[in-house]
Amino acid sequence: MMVMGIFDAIKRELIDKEVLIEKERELRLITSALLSRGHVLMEGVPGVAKTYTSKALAKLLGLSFKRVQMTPDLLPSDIIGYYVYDQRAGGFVLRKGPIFTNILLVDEINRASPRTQSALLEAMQERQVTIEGELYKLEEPFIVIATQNPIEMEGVFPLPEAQLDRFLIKVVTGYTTTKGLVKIMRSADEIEEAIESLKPIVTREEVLEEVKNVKSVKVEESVLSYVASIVEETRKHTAVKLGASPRAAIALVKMAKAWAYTSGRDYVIPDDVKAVAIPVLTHRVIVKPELELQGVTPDKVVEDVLSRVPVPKP
Amino acid sequence: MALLALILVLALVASLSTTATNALGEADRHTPGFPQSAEGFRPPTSPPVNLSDVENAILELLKSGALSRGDAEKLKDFSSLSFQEAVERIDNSELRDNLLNLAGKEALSPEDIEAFLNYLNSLKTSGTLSPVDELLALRALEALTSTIQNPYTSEIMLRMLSALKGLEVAKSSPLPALKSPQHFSAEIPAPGLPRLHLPFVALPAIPQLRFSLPSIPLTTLIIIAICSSIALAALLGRKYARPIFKRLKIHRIGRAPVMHIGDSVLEAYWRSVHIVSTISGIQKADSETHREFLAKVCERLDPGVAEVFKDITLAYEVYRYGFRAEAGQRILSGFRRLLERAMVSA
Repeated sequence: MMVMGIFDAIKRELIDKEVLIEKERELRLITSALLSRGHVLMEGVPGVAKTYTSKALAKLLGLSFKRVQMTPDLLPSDIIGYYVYDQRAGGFVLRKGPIFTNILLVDEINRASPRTQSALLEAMQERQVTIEGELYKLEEPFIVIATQNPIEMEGVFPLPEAQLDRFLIKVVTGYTTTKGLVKIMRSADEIEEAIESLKPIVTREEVLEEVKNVKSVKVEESVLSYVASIVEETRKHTAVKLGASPRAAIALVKMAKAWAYTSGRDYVIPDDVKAVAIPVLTHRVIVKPELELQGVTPDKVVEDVLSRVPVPKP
Repeated sequence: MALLALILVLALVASLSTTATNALGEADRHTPGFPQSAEGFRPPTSPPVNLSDVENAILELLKSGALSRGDAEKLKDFSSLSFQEAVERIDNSELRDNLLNLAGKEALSPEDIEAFLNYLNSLKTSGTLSPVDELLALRALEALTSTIQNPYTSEIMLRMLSALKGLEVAKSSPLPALKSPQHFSAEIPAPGLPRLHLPFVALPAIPQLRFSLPSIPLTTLIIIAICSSIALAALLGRKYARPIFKRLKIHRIGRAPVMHIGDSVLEAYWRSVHIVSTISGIQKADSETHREFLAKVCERLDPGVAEVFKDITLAYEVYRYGFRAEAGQRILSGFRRLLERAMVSA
């Protein structure tokens, strides 16, 4: 089954049946990130269905799902796991942390201490954890969906730029429209029940197969040049303090491939690059503080770059 | 379109009426060289001349020695001469007879006076009338007509002064240069002669009749020109401009820019882009993808043309980025269809 079919099925189950209201774009981006083996940073105020979206996706894809609520006193071992002495066994046994799952929802990652954040981000990068000197591989697919409150809110530890770069995309999710809100209020109880009763539409193996298929999506040379031009342009932009890294370029190509695949194509077109450029680049671009005060945001910078960089021709 | 033309014509009329009203306001204050009404017309006034003025002038001439003793005797007490006395002093017998005949008439009419004045002119022209005889004849005529309504009184007085001037000039040599009535002045004496202070006499200038339109400001003229042009274009432009624009469009469709792509299939796509750009007036931006351009341009194309161009674009995408050569044929055939439809829709 092509993932486009899976995404259509996901859409049918969650969007068309109004289990998730006005979250199609977010759902497609998370699916594409999952197929690209990337992690997702979701930014949005509390109560905009971040958890519901992740949980529903995990259930539909037949993947294991765990959730961690980050707090300032949370320790790395609370996420990774630890050895505990078992009297019956007469020795230490491993108590695996919530990281041992397919989809891990890390709620409010910017509320955790920098030490815990680092431990988590290392596991995300390496896709393995070391506990008491022993190496444990994490099961594929493995995706972290970390949510964060806007940094303006109190009691948060903003993620360092280097750690932000580890997230493949940043999905900004916001409030629904008034019409959507009315729908949510009308069927709040049914939505909760519907998510609990969701049945998988694919197996884990099928998902892994599609991950392989995404890797084989063709990217024409001129499209790679186009991506390179975009990334370079973010560095040259007058409003930018720190532009996109080579890792950002790789992420852009990966996401463009997944986006193309979920669109039913086995080749990337410049439109795919444009479609994922903002989610891929905005958390990697740092605007000069003086211009940030004037209202220049990374989104606007990326939009400006996209409007200036020529697409491949002919 | 007709509504637009109507609106513009109305605007033009409003503009003109405003201008005319403004200009009329100015004309009411004064119209150059043209009296507002016949009642209001007043000719330029000249100083009033009476017999005492004439007598003063005679005395001046006498003092200056411009009059001979004989002439002076004849003109003595000029202002108080009666008809009879004046006639008796005239040397020219024919003139005397004429005056007596005139006095013999029961009632003098203006025509009689005019005829006598003309008679004097003829005598003067023939050189048989001396200035003194003329003065006396005019004095006799004035005495004769003083009791009736005489429209020629002023003219008689003026002629008297003119005769005096003739008397003064006849005594001087060489003759002074002729002057226009306006410049004629006794204040310019002949060389060697004493200064004679005759009153300034100038015939009233005939008012210069001039037909003038109220002035229209330049901006109003420009507005009128623009409104007229747009109204004409709106009324007639559609009829005449459409075939011209159609021909131009067809010419531009056929005249594709020079491309050196080296791939006839890709060239067909870019020629298709040129065609739809020409039809729709939307140019493809460098940063615009083929799909973005398709979405934008389709809104401005006929459904038939849009459908063909959509097919070409999707085939281009597969050929260009999907590495599928078979899509090339779709582009080429689509290009031919597009060209045909474009010519029709243009």
